[in-house]
Amino acid sequence: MISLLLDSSSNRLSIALAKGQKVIASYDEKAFQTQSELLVAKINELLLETNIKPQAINNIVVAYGPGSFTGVRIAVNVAKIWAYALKINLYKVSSLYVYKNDLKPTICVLDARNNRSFAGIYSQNEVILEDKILTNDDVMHYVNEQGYALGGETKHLGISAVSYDRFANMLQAIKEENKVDDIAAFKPVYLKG
Amino acid sequence: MKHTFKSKNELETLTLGEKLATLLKVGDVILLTGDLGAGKTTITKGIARGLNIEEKVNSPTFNIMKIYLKGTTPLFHIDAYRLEDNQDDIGLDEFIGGEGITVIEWPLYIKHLLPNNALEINIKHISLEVREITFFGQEHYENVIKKIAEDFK
Repeated sequence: MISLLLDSSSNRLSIALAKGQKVIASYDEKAFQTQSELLVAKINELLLETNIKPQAINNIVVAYGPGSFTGVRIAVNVAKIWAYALKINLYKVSSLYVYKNDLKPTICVLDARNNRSFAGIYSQNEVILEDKILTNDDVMHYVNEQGYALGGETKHLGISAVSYDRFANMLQAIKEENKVDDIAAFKPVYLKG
Repeated sequence: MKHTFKSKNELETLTLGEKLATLLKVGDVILLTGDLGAGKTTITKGIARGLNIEEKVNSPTFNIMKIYLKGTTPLFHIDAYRLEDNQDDIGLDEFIGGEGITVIEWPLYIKHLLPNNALEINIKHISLEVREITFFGQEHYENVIKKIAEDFK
């Protein structure tokens, strides 16, 4: 079972090919303003490197937001087109869920600017708080008063984040409840505006 | 702080922008005001030159934003003219005050997206060639204005 994992929802570009539960090739770099240029080229590089043909891919997993206005659209569009053209399964995953830490319940965040964060709280197997926009003060309250670990891109909060395994988390999202039934109608989540 | 320069011609306006660019840092925001044809794009061309941007810089009236990534610092050039009466979120807040220098023409149309502190430059049309260019700024921008004032007495 070959899975293609795509995430461009922050300022990074993260792509992986997995065989079963094992990542066999990946690209995961900061890609400020270059995600759209790089995404398809990097997928092709990974396919060549692993000698896998597009037709051999069984699943695509895409982080569909919240996050950067343009970023959440880039990977989703490519995922939709590939899933449609190859007639394969498409699974959606929250772009905050990818930062969860399986050892402790984590509030996962991305900078939403103006002293706000996109935030969701996840433990290994459950959603404790659905993705929403919180003030940074509220995020810190969850961390300091309620004892949640902090994950994600946390530079704007000035404290470091717990470790995470993005691709392992994305592979965990391959389950029936996350399957996209109507690929053409599938849209990213932005939460703002 | 406020300081007014007199620019005798387009070349002087370009040079002023070029000098300004060397004093700016990532995250700085410049608001350009002035009538059509006053020289808002000209001073932006000067800023781009000061950042060693070699691409052609022109007014993004129809594109709304043009991004230049190949200079010393990324430059985000926004023209908000066409955003009047438009409240749709198109993600501009990710650029303004972000990982580059932002220049905004017609900032009054995106007031809700502007930072509290920015360098405002008003360009006034005096005659065919001559312009009065007034800088308004606080904190870090005061030092910027002082340094330019020394160079353009």
